[in-house]
Amino acid sequence: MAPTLPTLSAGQLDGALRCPRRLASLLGKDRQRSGSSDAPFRVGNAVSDAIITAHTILEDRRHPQPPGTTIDDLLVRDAPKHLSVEEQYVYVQMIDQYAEVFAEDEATLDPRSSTTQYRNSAAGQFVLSAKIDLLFRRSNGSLELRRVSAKRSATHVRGQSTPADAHVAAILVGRGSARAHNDTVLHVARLTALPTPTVDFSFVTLGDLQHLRTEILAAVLASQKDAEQTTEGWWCTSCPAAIGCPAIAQRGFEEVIQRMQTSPGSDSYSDATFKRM
Amino acid sequence: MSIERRPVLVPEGHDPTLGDPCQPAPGMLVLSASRIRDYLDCPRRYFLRWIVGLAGEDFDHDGPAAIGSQTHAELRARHLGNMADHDIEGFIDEESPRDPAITRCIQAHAQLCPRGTATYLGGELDVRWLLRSKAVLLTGRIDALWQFPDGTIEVRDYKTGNCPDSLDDDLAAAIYLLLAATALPQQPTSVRVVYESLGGEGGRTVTLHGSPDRLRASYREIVDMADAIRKQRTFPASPNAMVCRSCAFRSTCPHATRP
Repeated sequence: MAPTLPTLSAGQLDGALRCPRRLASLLGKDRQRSGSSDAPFRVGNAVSDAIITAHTILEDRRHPQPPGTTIDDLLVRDAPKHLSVEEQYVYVQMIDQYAEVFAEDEATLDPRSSTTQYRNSAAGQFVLSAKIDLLFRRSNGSLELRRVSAKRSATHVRGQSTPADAHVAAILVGRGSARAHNDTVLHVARLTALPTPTVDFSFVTLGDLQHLRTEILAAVLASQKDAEQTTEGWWCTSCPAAIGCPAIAQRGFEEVIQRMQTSPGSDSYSDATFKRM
Repeated sequence: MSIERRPVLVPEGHDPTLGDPCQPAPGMLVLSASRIRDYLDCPRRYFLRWIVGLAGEDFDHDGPAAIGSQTHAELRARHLGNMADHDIEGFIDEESPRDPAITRCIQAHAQLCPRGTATYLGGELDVRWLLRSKAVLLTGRIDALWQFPDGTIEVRDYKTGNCPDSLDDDLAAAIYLLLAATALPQQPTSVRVVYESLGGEGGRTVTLHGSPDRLRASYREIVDMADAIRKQRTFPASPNAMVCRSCAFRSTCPHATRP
């Protein structure tokens, strides 16, 4: 049986591109996996499920809906009971916002919605993966990705595509089919709850795809050249390779106490300085 | 297209209004002053904010928090750019900030600043220490870091709002103390935390000295807190008028104490 190739997902991309050591740990033979919890995705998944169900009913040719029916009429407003009260509140707000923005839209649901898509990296060293929340085909033939999240975002800038957007586009567009509609490869709509439900639009262009490809290749090369090279930042708090990382202090506590106890004058070090205040 | 939901096993004692039982992700547990404060104030708030990742209501755009963050940024810029040639009060005259409250805070700081006797190592610094044996990543943002000639490292925390009279029971100060002792490349021989009270009644300082006993007690507090959070299954609400009043989830939480 062939060994399973390491996978680089859209969610891992941002942190992986920022730190060679992190990327090396994700793609290496002894690759690390951070523990994950389903909790951060519960609201987003529930919203996506409701939207997919509503679009599926609306587009069902065997059981056509009465004329004039819109997505707004079919979205389930009652939040799933497995969500907490606070999450249910966010769910209802996000559904309302979705209905308001997309009620009259003519885009149709692509069957790749709610699936995970894969693509081999160019050199065959690893696999790129992306969870597709919602995918639509617009009347002009272009694809529209709708990403759904109820979480806070540290990096998202309104109107700008993210590396994760380009990552998903690279997987969806595929080799040889990078057809550009006015240079637009993928139209991205983000439905978020930050701090109030918001729909944001951006485009992933061919330039973004080329930039991402260059960035990934450079990051992979850097991580292969020096797998211990680190870049410190907010992403360290979610790093699967934090243990042993030279950028994060991890000296033993007793060692620190020993240093404090053996240093001369450790009992009276501050008095002189503080008397002047 | 059918949507299937996986069945969930609900442990005994789980708060049903929290939905599916959730734990912090297995693996590394991240702790900071604000995370621990949230957990101690109300486990439900900790759950919603740090495990689910909800933002809640955003209600402090121009309030005290904004003045605080602007004061922090202003002081950092002044220390980094002008310590050698200008004293802080002089610099205020040249380029006064717009908000009078910020000006007052900076003037109060000028009376308390250890410039001249210590070296400024930086401001708004993110520091981290990994307790490997416990898989806990302790993080904190230090307002200002000073090094004294005797090797002492001093963490300064600017308080533009309320400031306690003592730091003996202040968990955030305990965290800063631990981070100063363990996370800095300087490897200090002694550490202390100083809160600068810059708002309201004028400038004053409150100090916590990092004796070995104090550090041991702080370490034990953090480890106990990590164990408690890891064991948590229900994340119950702790309704309290003071806590609920400023909670980002106060209008939706079914347990919130409302006026």
